[in-house]
Amino acid sequence: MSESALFVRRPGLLTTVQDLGRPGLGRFGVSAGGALDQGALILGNRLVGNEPGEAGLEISLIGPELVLTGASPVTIALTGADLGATRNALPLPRWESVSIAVGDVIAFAPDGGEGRGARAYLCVAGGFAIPPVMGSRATDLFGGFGGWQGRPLRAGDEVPLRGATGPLPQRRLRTPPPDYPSELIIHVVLGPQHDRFTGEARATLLSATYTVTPTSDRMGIRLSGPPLALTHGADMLSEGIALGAIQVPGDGAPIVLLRARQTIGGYPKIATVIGADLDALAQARPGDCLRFETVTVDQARALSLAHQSRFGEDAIVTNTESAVSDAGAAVMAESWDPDGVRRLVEALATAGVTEFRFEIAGLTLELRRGEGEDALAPSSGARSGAEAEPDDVILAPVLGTFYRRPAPDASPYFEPGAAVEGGQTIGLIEVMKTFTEVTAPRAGILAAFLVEDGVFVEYGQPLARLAAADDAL
Amino acid sequence: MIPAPAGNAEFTIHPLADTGLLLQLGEQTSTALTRRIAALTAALDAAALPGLIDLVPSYTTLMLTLDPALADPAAIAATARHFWAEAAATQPAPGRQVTIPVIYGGERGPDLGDVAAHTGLSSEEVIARHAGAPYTVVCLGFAPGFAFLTGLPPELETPRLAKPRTHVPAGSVGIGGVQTGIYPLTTPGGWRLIGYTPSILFDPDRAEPFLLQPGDEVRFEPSAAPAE
Repeated sequence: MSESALFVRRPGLLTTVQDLGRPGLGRFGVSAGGALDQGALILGNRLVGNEPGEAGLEISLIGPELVLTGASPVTIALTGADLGATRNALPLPRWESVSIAVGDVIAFAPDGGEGRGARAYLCVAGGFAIPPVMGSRATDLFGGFGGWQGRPLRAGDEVPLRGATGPLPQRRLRTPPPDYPSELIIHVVLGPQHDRFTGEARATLLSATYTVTPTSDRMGIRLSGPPLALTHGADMLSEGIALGAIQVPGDGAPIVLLRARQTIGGYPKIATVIGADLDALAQARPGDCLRFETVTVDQARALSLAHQSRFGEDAIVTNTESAVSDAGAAVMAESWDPDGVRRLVEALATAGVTEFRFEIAGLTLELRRGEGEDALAPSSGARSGAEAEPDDVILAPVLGTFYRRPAPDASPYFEPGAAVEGGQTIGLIEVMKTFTEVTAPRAGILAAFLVEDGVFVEYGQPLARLAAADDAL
Repeated sequence: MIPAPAGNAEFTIHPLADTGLLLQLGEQTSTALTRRIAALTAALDAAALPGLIDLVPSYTTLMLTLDPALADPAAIAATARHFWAEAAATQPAPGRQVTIPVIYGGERGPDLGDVAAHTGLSSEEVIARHAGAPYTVVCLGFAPGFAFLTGLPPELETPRLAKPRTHVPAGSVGIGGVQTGIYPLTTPGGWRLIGYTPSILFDPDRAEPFLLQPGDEVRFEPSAAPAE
């Protein structure tokens, strides 16, 4: 078969097929489910010319590694959070359509990108060749049905695509995409059981800051913060649970219920998040902070209408000239003329690339973003192999806390000025009790550390400068 | 909160932000209330009101999910009151009669002896009373196709397991406190398992995925274990 498919090399943390869900089965115990950030899915579909409710991949925090198989290129669009997506190791732009070739590898940084937003959506022109179950291609993880075999993607899966759509014009958003702040104000309407809480609890809900905990999932966002006291205990007759309901079990720690929640439950609900804020809420990641503000039902409705209007057909524009954003295509198309290089530099700078090396027909183009400069600037354009290796900067492979020593009371791995072999550990980065080794990419002299021991570093942040061994004093 | 008018269309409506309405239709569960809520649910579903996208009935409430861009909440509330009054006037009939065969005891009913010991009845009497009683499906929830039934004879009431099982096979029939029911999916569960049914409660690929719906009248029928 030559039909196209996405082959899963690595599944990521939780990658599922989702569309807009299957509302209408609540009375049978089936929640609507579907993409948690529906706006991001709708825009992704519009960018690739699909119906807005077509199924895409919902990618959570740590993304997969996917390879396009088959015989023909396809158009994709990545929307939602920046989880560090690449195509063939180059940054994959979000919020615009991109044509990918057979064999192209779509991967995600293991640290999950810039750390804002929790979920990305990958839409493919034509959608996935997956039969709908009870009217939807959404994966119901609790019920184990729908989507791809009723479960998250696994390594070795080959998810078939529905088919070639032919060449598509390049599309992008008309207005800037949503950003995903890590401090959110979420609007609510009190009720339906706010009168089962103390007045102090209602005041606390509307004044305190709550933190998203790592136990949050597609069913709900579990919050830590001041507990909310009930006046009549936490047990009540089970009833339907609204999307966005803020439910409070006996321990007083609120849970905001999302699309994959159970349909009914017996805990009191102090308030309900308005429709307009559900997409933003779905992008809250562990550690993000929420504050709640009340609005009236009429205000909520007006906000929802404004929110939904951002996902209409007119949210998309079609580029009339070829985009510069695809770095590889730009190089091929523009050859080495100065204007082509300038446009490539702009594209790379826009994509946040700090280093770029490209070899073709015996020529090498090597670009590096200079320290203290905003834009990428060409640093050399010489014949391949003619130049000595420049200094290397050792970058943080993940975000977290950087340590120069294996244990708090141990000596540092290396002092500045020491000679290191390629692959030797020069430090550790801790994130959530997991340690990642920082290794020297090659032999050299550890010229200087660029960050203090024990500080928090971002992914890709320069940690140390490595001088070539023959530059040694 | 929209105040309740007088008369038999009386109920309170709580807004669920802009995306839903919770109709508080009674205070105490009863078979009559369950039937009336089932009739209201069916009538609202059949009316296909714009922007009314889901209905979740339960013991004393009906939750309506709305698309704020399409729904007129006031019109939906008025329609609900109309159907509620109509359901009161017509005394809704019992729902569908569904008989569910159960193989009591044995490997798949490991707690039958515990229920007998707790209730002071013999295993045979537990089976006779469990299978002899009529049950009503109040609502479905917890898992797709899981029916909350009322009608367990009070003498069969048995506390849940202190430590829930991590793996209760689909089709298991259990008693948990005052409730009895059937696990539609293999899930964790803390009810005392007294048998199992070969009936499939939920099959997403079947033309009618759900065996039960709210308002159904259920009877359990003792059945012999299938021949090896």
